[in-house]
Amino acid sequence: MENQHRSTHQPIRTVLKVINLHQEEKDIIKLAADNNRHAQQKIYVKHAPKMLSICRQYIKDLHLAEDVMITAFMKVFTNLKNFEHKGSFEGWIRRIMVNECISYLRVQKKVGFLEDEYYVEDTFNNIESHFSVDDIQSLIDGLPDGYKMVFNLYCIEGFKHQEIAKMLGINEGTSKSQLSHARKMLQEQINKQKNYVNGTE
Amino acid sequence: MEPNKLEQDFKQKLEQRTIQPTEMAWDRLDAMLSVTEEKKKKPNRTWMYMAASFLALLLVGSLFLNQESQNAQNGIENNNNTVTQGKSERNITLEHTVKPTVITNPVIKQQAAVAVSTNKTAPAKNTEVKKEAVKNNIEPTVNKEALAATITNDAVKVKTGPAKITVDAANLLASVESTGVTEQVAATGKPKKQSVKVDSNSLLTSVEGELNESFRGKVLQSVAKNYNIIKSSVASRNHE
Repeated sequence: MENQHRSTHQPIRTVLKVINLHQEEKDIIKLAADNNRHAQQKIYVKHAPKMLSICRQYIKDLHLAEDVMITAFMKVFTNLKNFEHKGSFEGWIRRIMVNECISYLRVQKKVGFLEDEYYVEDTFNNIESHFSVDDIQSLIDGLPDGYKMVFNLYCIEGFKHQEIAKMLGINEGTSKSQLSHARKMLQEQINKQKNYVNGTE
Repeated sequence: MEPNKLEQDFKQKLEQRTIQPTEMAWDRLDAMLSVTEEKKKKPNRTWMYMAASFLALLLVGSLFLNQESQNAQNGIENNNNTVTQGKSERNITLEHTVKPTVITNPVIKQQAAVAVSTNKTAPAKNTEVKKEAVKNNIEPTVNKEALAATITNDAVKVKTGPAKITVDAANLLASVESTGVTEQVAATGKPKKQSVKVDSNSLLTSVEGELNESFRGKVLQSVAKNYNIIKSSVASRNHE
């Protein structure tokens, strides 16, 4: 009986908890928007590890990635008044982070895109990967910055080619071809690693 | 072009990853935030100061302008008053100077009429006139000159008198013409006295007019200058 009772109340409790959390987040955002340093720190502590991970996807140097994350957080706090609580707050921060990474790569590293329209509807081997996160990161790090951006935006962030083209100021075809090149390169690298592993065996 | 299994695996694993930033990172962000806060606050304050100082300048400027215009008006009025007073005073003095001559004229005429018999009385009257004139320091000389002028005029009159009489006698028959002649005579006789009077008056008035004009001009110029200075300063403040 007691167990049943507890189980019926569990969802309500969680819902209440979620609502409370949501309300708490709203309050903190409001405080942070008014330059309350404590609230700002709370937001930073909560989101920074995830955001640094995202920045690290685009920028190989962890220190540079952290720099970019800090400037992106600056933008988060200065634009906090414009946040309309429509989507998730994390998603909003994430978008700012990604944009900051892109602008860093484009402005600081002057990454350009070759406007070629070559891409193939490649059937990427649906291999079950057993890569660790570090392996994945090193694979992505191996890509040129242009390929890396498009790959991250398409495969990790889930943007469409049209959106990526708009974000990077390139043609949709170029975005597709960049992704195609990135995939090809990744496949080659994975094959190399496989061969290396096979060879050692 | 859908993300394949490998890419989905990439995504999942990357989504779960977190990288703890260095402790320095928050300190840097904190410093940057405080810097931008100061920057944000300062411009607002400076803007407020600018607005306040501008308003104060406007107030002071408008007050200055009002005062200036009032002063200018008062000054002009005062000047006019003084000038009119001066005019009246001078007119009075002129009248004073003229009156004695008018008074003396009968005396001299009497002298001419009675001949030299009343010479002794005439000097006495003259001395009386002089005594009266002594009150005004400059007048005696003027009186003397006026006396001399009147005397010469009288002499001329005396000289012309017979001619007049002859002309009158000739024209007495024609009474209509005589009026014209008397008018002519009046016209011929009077001008010398009038010319003397008009000259002094016109000279004085012209001098006074010039004085007035110069004073007004000065005042107006100063007002215009001040106005322009304030205008330019206000304009430059706006530009700043």
